[in-house]
Amino acid sequence: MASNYDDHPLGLLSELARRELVHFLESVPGRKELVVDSSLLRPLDRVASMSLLKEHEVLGVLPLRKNATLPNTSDVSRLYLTRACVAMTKEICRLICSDPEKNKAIIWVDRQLAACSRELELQGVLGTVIEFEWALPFVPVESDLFSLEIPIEVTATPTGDLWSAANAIWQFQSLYGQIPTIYGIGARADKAWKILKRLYQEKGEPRASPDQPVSHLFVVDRSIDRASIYLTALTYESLLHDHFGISCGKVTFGADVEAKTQNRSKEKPAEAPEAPKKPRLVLLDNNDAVFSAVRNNHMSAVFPFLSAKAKELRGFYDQGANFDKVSAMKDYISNELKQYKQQHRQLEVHIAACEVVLERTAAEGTSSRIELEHALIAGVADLAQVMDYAENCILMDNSPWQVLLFVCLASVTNNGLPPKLFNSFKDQFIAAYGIDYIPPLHFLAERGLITLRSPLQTANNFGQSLAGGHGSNASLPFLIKRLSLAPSSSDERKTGFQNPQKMSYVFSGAYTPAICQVVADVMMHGFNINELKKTFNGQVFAEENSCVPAERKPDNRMRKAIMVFFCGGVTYGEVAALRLLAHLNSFRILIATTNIIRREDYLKAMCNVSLTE
Amino acid sequence: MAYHNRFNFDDPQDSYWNENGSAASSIFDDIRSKQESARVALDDLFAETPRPAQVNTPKPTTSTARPQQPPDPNRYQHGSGYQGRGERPTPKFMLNEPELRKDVSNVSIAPSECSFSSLPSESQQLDLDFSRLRAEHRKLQRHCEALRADRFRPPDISETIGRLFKNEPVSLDLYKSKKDKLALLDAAISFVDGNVILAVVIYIQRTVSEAIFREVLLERPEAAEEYVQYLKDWGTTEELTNVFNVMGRTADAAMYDFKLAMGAKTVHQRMAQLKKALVASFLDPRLSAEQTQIHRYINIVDRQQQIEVADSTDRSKKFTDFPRHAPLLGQPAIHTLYYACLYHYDSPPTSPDSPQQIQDLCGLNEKQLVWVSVGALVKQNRWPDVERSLSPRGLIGAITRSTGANLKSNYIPMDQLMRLIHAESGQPPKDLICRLLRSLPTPEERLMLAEKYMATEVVIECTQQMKERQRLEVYTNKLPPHSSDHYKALAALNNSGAKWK
Repeated sequence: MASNYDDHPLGLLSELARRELVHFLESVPGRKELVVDSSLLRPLDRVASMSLLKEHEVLGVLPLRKNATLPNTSDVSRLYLTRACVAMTKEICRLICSDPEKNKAIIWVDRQLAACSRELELQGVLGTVIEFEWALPFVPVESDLFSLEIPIEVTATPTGDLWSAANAIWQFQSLYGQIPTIYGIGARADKAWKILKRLYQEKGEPRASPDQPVSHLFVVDRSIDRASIYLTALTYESLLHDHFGISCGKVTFGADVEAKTQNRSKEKPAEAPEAPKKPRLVLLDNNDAVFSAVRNNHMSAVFPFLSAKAKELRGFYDQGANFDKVSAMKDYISNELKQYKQQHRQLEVHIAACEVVLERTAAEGTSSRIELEHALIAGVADLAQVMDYAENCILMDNSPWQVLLFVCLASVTNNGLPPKLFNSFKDQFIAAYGIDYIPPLHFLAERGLITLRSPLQTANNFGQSLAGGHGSNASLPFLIKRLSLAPSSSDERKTGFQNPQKMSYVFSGAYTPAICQVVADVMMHGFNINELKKTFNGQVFAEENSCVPAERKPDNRMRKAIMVFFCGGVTYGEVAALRLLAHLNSFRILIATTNIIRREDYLKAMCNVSLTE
Repeated sequence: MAYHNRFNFDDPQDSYWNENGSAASSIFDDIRSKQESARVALDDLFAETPRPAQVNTPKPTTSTARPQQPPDPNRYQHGSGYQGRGERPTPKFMLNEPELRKDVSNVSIAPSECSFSSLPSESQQLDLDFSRLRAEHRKLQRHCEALRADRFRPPDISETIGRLFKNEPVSLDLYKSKKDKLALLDAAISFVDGNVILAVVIYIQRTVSEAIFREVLLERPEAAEEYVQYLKDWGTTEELTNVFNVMGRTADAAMYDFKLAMGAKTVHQRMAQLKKALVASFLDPRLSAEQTQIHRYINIVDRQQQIEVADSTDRSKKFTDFPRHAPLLGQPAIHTLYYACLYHYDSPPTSPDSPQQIQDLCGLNEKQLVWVSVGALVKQNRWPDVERSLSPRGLIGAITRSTGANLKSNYIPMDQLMRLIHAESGQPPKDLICRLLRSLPTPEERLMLAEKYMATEVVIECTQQMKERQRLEVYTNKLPPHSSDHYKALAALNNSGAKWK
């Protein structure tokens, strides 16, 4: 099977997963249809194209949704592809029981779970289906960004995603060889590491290989730095993600962006008024020349670039009018014009998207929010003013989750809110959004995100450590001081977002994402385990599998990459910061993660609220 | 039991060694006789070689028992074991290949025809083979016995957990004692993997009394956490709240009770369940704030019901101007207040549907009242009332209104107030905007908002004050020509009395 994935970074992983999937498809003879858990549709597409599935007699791919009925097709086997979770298993059981005669199989992504197998047993389905386990590897979202695409609800549970994370690292090592040096920071990283050790025992320890593309691996617990989630990151990509939700490198812009692009292309007014048009899916990757140029830019640098680009294109079009010779004209039309047309289209989409983002942020009063956020991080904010702003947002009927994000930041930067402000905020929040928000507020308090600054706090912390050890993280003000994440003076921050030199540019210079800062420190000065243990409450480990001592700093002359694995999700802001770090130090940094965080969804998961509500 | 039948070593006819004769009865017949004769000859010669008794004794029984029995798989099994160890051809092999049998018989016959000196060593060889095989047999027999006995004995805990970790089938039912179960759970916890822990927890939950299970959960928070997560996924709220209560996490229990109550289909059911939950789960003093909020909500819904009954028959103009889109019942406090401001702003303050009464009922503060009433009044284009609600209450307010002095908004930041009064159909009087804007402290702020909301008078004042003629020019160009604002701006630009930079 010829494949174009070989030259991709970590292409072997996808290749292996693809072959495994084909093997499963072939183990069920005859024509079949694939019923796929909707959260897996895009990752599946990244690994196996539709044409490949068709080659193996897959007639169609149907999404698996709650209470949906599937078209009744006879003589077709049905393969369910799902993550092991109870809700989906119940759904599959319902479907299987409604049509018991059908030939069926279940492919569990990552693995079968005890809870699911119990459900199958209870429903009497166990034994009537063939079951496979398919370990989904890192899905390449971009050439330097790999995600396991685990749903955020799962990553918010204490142990839900650890096995998958460990298995993915094991898989990677088994194909590419043992990673020479491994660092881990945070409780979750530690747990993942314990599971990985077990995997070594059960499945075999990977061997060292000279071809291993990664020289250093950082396994980092997401929850050691939550501020990067609460703060509004101002890179283009992360704003797009906040407003439209990028999933697996693809985005569906809302109706407002569509409307804007259609207004602009006045040449074709005829096709505009078709009402229920299917929303267009836009692929966002480095093949889109415009997007690849602006994705990591600070928002203030995006419009200048886009308008310069537009002028440039105008120039190229004009050039077309000035040809003397027919042959030159012909050449121009056949070769360059198409390219320009394409860039024109891309430019149009991104300008429209930018405009919509700016409109929405203006409507929500984001600029004052960002100012207050920066004051909070710098530790100079007047809490009464901050909470007053939050109250205004409530009365403006802004999205409750955005308000909560903001208040979370206020709480973690101040080690909790004073009782008066805390109670009044709670009352006003409930008054405006309804008592349905009592549980979310409670869970936020329990996880230590919006807390009361009082002696009661210790009791809360006790509860937290029972609930999964969230309380054991170093407090944010301590981290900021210790890792010098905030600039010392305000002049320092307002410089050079056009051509950034510091990772803090993603937050307009106010804050350097803590995890990125740790990586940068190690890159510059080596891994000082004792210092880091002091910073992160001792939850730090280092492991060397080669003769190079783990304390030594990585060397970019080795032409090996550094991999940073985020246990619990990464934000696009951090991605941009790490890309800058790699660029400035001419390193290659591969970012791997369990999922890419959209901050509203993250908060919902923290509140045990399902995302569809 | 098939296993048992097949490998019953105690039964002589099933054992290979006993079977040896029966196998030989069809195959080794001639060999055996030759061997016998050889041995007799040997004994005659030396009369000192020890002869194992067993070799001969079983022969008659087995050969009579199953003389013509077709070869069965058991025999092959034993034969193959025999072949592996004893390096002698298997019966199976010989059955299929008659020539070979001849060969073998030749070999077996060989001793009798061989040279004299080779005979004793050959027989010793046979004995040696025999004793070795017997030892082998005993060993295998013991092993097999042990395995058979172990079938129902729990395997090593680490092995079981390892199999669980690998998702291989394994039975937990053999761990009967509480000690074993706890050891199993501890081993699972040491594996960190949630799935393994949960598998063991489910097993323990199934097999011990509730009290013991609770105790186990209390002692092992990791296990409890997995179990709780499992119950959440499963959607069994009752068990979940039980577990929370037992573990002392009453607040969590209350939250799930609350969620369950809120999930009720109609508002009436919801109220009934909420009241029940209040009594049952919200007793924890740490939840007093939540308790107050729920009480308040119940009161609001009561009031909403009264209003709803009264308004559903009301056909007055305001209900046709602003038709109600959604029922009021169950709405949050702020929405109720907005409703009151929209439809009942003029009700006497003592009437239950008046904004003041709602404010008291919901425990809302002045800021919320001002903000919401401005929003509702703008929608109705009641500008004097907007002004009244913005200005401070009492005498000072009355004076400022009557004198037309600057209006100061205490509660709403100016940019948001501007947006609020320009919302939807709002066409605020210019005078109001100007007076509001003039209350801003710095000219720069004033100018920014004035430009945005086209308050020409304020723009002119500010530009003059800041001496920015150019900015006024830019602004003038944006105005529609021949409008009164345009003329005003032009007049200001042409005013020679003004001092520009």
